[in-house]
Amino acid sequence: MRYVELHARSAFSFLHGASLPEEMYAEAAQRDLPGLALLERNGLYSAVRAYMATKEQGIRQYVGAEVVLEDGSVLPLLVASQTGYRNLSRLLTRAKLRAPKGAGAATWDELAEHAEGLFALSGDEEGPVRQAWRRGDAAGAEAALQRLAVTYPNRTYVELQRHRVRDEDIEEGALMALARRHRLPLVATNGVAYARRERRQLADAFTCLRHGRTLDTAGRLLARNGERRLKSPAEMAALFADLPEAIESSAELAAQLEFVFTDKNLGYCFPDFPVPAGETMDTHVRQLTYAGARERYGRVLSAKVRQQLDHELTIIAKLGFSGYFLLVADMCGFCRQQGILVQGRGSAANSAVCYSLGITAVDPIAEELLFERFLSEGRTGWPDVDLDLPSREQREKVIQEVYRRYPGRAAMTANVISYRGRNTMREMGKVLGFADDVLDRYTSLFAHGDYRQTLEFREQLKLAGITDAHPRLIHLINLVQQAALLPRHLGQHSGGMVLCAGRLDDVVPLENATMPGRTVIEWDKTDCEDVGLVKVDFLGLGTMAAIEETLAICRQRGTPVDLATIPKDDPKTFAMMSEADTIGVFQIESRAQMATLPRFKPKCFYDVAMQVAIIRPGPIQGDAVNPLIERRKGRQPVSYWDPRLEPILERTLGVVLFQEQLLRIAMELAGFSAEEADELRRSIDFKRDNSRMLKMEAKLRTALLKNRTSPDATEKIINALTSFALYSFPESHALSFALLAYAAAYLKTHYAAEFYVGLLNAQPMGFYSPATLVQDARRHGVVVRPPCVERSGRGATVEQDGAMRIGLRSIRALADESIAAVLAARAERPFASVADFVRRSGLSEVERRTLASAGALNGLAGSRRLALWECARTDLEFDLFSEAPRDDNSAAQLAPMTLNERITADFATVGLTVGDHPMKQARAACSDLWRADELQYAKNGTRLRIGGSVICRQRPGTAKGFVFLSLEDETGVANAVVRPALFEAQRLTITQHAALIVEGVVQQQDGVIHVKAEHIRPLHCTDLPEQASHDFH
Amino acid sequence: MFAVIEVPDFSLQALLRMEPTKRHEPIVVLQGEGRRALVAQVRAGVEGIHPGMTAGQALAANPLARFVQPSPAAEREADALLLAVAWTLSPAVEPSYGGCTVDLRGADRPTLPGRVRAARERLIASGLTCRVGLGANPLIARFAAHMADPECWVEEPPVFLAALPINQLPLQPEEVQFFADLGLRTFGALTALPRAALNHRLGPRGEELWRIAAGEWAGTFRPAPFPTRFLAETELADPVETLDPLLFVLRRHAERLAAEVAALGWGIHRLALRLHLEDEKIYARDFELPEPTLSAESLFAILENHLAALHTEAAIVALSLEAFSARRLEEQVGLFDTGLTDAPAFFATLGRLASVAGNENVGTPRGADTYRPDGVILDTPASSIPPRRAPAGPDSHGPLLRRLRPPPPATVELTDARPSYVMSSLVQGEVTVLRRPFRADGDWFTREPWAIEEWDVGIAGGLYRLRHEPTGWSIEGIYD
Repeated sequence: MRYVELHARSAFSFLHGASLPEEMYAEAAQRDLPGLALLERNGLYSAVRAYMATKEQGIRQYVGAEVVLEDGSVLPLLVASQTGYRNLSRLLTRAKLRAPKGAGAATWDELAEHAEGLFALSGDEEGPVRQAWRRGDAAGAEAALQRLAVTYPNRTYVELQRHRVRDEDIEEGALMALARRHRLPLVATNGVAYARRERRQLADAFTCLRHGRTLDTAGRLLARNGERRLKSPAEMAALFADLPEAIESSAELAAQLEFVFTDKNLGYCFPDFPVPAGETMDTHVRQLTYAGARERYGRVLSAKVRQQLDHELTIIAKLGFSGYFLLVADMCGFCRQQGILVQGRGSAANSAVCYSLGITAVDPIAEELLFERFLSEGRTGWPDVDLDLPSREQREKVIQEVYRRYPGRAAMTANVISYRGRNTMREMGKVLGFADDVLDRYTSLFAHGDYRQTLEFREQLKLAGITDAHPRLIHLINLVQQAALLPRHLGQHSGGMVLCAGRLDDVVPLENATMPGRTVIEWDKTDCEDVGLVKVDFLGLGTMAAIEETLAICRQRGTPVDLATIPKDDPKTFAMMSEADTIGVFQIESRAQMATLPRFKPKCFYDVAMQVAIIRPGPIQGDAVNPLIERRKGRQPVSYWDPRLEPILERTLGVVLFQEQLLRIAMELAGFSAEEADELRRSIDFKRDNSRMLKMEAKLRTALLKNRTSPDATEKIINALTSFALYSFPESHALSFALLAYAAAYLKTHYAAEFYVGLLNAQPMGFYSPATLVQDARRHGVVVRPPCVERSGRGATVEQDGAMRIGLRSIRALADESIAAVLAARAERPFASVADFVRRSGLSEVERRTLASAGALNGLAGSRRLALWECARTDLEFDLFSEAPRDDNSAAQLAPMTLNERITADFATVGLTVGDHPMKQARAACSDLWRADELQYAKNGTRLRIGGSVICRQRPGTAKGFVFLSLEDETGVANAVVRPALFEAQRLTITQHAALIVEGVVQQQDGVIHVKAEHIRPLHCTDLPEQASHDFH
Repeated sequence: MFAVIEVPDFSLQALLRMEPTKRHEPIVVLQGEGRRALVAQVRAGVEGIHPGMTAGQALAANPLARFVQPSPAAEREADALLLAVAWTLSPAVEPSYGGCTVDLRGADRPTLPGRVRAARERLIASGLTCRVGLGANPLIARFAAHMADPECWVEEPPVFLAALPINQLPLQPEEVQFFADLGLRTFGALTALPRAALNHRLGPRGEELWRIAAGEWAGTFRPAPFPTRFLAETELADPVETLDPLLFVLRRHAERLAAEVAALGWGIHRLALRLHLEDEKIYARDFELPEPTLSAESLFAILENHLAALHTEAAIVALSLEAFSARRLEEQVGLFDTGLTDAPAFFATLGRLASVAGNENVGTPRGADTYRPDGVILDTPASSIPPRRAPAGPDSHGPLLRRLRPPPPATVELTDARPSYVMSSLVQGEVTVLRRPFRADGDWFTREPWAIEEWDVGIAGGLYRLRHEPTGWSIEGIYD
């Protein structure tokens, strides 16, 4: 007997299902089910993953959704045709776009409007019919069924589910009577919520999360048994032995569901780009490319350039991508028109067409980049162009422009947030009734997102106070493990937008994002790629905002800098990089980068690209770092695993550093075609499924050996491949980032004040807090001045004499409107006194006091204390006509702030001090500590103590549990390395205290200095303010 | 003259007073919840932890630290004791959190030091260490109490007040910040500023603070009324299974109740003890005393004797002890009251029944929120019977089931995993009618998970419900 399961949910129903779609289809295949419909709650969230899973499992996917109705009941709908799919997607979109994120309910009128091509089931206990019946409203149940039958004529089925629950036959009897009365067919389903019985416990936990209960108090909200699992046709036939027609009916209904979910059937098309009359998109892109190329390469194009452009344009035209390039180039044009810095990154930088169209900034011909890494004839998917934009407002402007140009045809890509780490532990712990203090302790122990642990989960729990003897330990472990990687909720991708020629909601339902003005589709970027939805990434990059601001200030100060023309061989810039003086410099400011720079010593632009690429998990795991540095220093001979590798790896001295190199190795040594190379690229990029990678690995190994590569060299190449799957940069991407890194370093070297102002105004970004950036600026000779209501702008500024002035925006508790009010009042005429300032600015008392405390009123009052005293007067605001007299000589009673009080006030109000680092004040109390700038004089192996504010805690996945601490004092930053065992022993001290003393042994290598920690304790200094720290990111 | 009695680290002291086992533990009281909880009070001798630290920091400094939240019940108890002892100094006592103010105007000055010391010692004997400040008005007495070690008699108020740190003022957080920003650290520095200048900045509140710093009292003294009910309640932080900690708490309660009743000059003639058990049951016992007494020892002895012979099935999680004074009025029974006419007699009878059948088997059954068959909770019988509510949802259908208790065990032969032959003391024969198994399971997250499978079977003309559990088969009931 054929049975098709037509009513199931996966974990993409968010707390209504407990298995991944892949698990559901694998189990369905295992149980010989010919087909399965995942009807997710109010969405088509799992449709693509289900589609990909059915490809693997070879069973039929049926599409549909459980649509939430206005009365809270849930109606299962199945898609029969392409029209039906479109209608369901539109229906879901309509319901959701008028509701806040996560909500949305359809009306009966909307159901009727979108009914064509859809089949309705009467639903389970949440369905409109059974809900009414359970309320004791038999007439309401009949009315609901009647309404369904009218809305979906000849397409309504009365759904029967048997979960081996006593008395369900009574309800079933009522449903059958209704079906007979209205001549509606019956259909059996199992209302599946998980693949296998074992997942029932997780489903119970999800029920608790949904209702905000614990398992102990959930009572009959929990499932009565574990029968909502996938069942085989034989099991279902046995269950409905007395009603075989209900089983038969499932197959009959399935046969009417003709719609097959494939990339082709979605009806998606990328928008055509409008071209002038007489032109096609192919001719137009060619024309624009050549025009751009003449600007980039000069009026007369070399044969090499023309050959490359023609080659690329031919492939682009052949693949039908001309419109895509025109659209992206057009958006780049919009950015330039608006004065927004834009730069393409990623593999697009391999394309001379992209370079000519102004999409990317790296000349791929000069850099000898491999176009096939970007596009090839064998390519099945669309190209991937990522545009970097200045973060926040500027980027939003571009995104909103896309919405404006493509109304209803553009939306953000989703980002599936999964159950992970501490949050899963917290939620499952709560469900199981673990006390808050235990969960808090766990959170404190494993703070700051530090979840790459050296301890087993059971050991972590023990530390938090949950011992092996705890009766619920095993359940906690099981639930956390089962929930791991299941979707928790849907967020939006950082910048990916999908564009469509027609209505996007014909293809995929849209919903509102939390952020106003944004709509999101229900699929993530991998889903989009899998079904051919074209995405353009508009990514916000803090450093772009900083550079844009820096350039603007340079222009204002009469020293304009053109990014395109800055010298690429500036010795001062390279010298600064070699000294690891790179705080604030994009991509090369991290502790790990700084620890490599003095050894790597970049000398040219390509070196910067290598430097950017080398501190990645891929090269680190692939043991590329040390050989590359040793070969650069001449301490190790340059060698190749195979002589044929020389032309490919020459620039990187025989080391595989970039993805392009790997692809070329595959093509030239293993004889891979362009199509195969593209498949290899996809398997490297595809993080979701390791099996793809394993298949490619086997294929590459066989091909290499067949093509006379030695077994030793083959294994080394394979090792490089597997390391690259961890994460590595394509060369083009590294070059694009290197451009920004070099530009930032150049600006820092030559326009320090402007650069730091740019950085401060682009906050939050980068590795370091404003406090650290200001201290770094001071070390570079920049005079930094505090915020001042008479002189500061909204953001930081560079003053006439080249000093940096902190902006009013940095002052905590000062609202944007208040800043605007101060600036407007000041523009009218300068403030004459504190009283005048108070009257004309209209600031609240808290804001006034904060300004006074920060020293921003010193110019008007003379000192912070006097300003505080003056601006605290409540009678000033109302005294409109006269200058308020100083009410007495009471201020004389107030002692001026001490230096320590000033520093404390600085950190409390601005989060930084423009004066000396607080450690300078604390130094007298801890004179035994070595200062950061003294460490260079310490001999290797010297035992000493360092101390300061912790500004960075890192525990990279590649560091085998070692932890790196950066301590800032008045002279700079000192780094400490902490062994895993020491970290575990002192985890709380290290993670909870803002300032630390580290005792250990100095290690120096090629100018890189670390203290190998042996003892760590908190640095208790009364006046040492707490600084922001960049932890475990 | 006024006296202020103040218990420093009140939450901590109140807690330790009721939980002697914690006395030697590194107890740290937290304020606030979740990750934002801060250390509020630290037991003396706990190293490295200071008030204001986060829980995480405290744990880093002293991994052995044991965090607790303040116990409202323990604090109520300590407050009541404090009040009862203060009434030995004067009938006019105004309570405040963790302390009280005593109006000593008219007190005999020469004997006062001795009486104050005696009150302190009585509190110490009952587990509370206090500080006492004495001054011309309640305000000065309060500041004196803050500075006392253990007593502070203010003879020259201006000198005493000028040196006080400004954080002794009752400041809001923003006021603390305001004065810190201005560098004002003492009462003297504050009162050195013109009163009007402060008024210009902080309005009436500024003037009020100036006045307080100058020791000018403008409040109203509101003495607490004597209690009309003498009740002590405690929720135990950890369930108690042994007698000692329970007796300790009861002794504290007896001391307090005796002191309270003594303050009124009455005697205790009856005690009502309620023990709340971990399994949600309550053990209740009333004790009629042969004659009214004020001896805490006598009261305690009665309780101790009874409890020594008592065995409860579950640990005790909370208790209450109520004392009835000799002059307490009895409750009048209403004319149309349908409740119990003699509740004590009824509950005494229940108590006797419980001693025969076991506490867990006496009470009013209520369906538990579970699918488990026979899942019921026994409530303490209500003194009146609520009206019957109509069941929600559709009516039940089908034949009535007569449940068999205990269900007779059965031996069942299976064919194709389905019952085909049943043998039991009730019925024996081939299964002629078989209706699908019904399954239910639950409590998988507890120590007592359960799972059952039920079949409706026809045997020898009768219709039965068969139940299968991991322990075996049984006949659950007969369909009539």
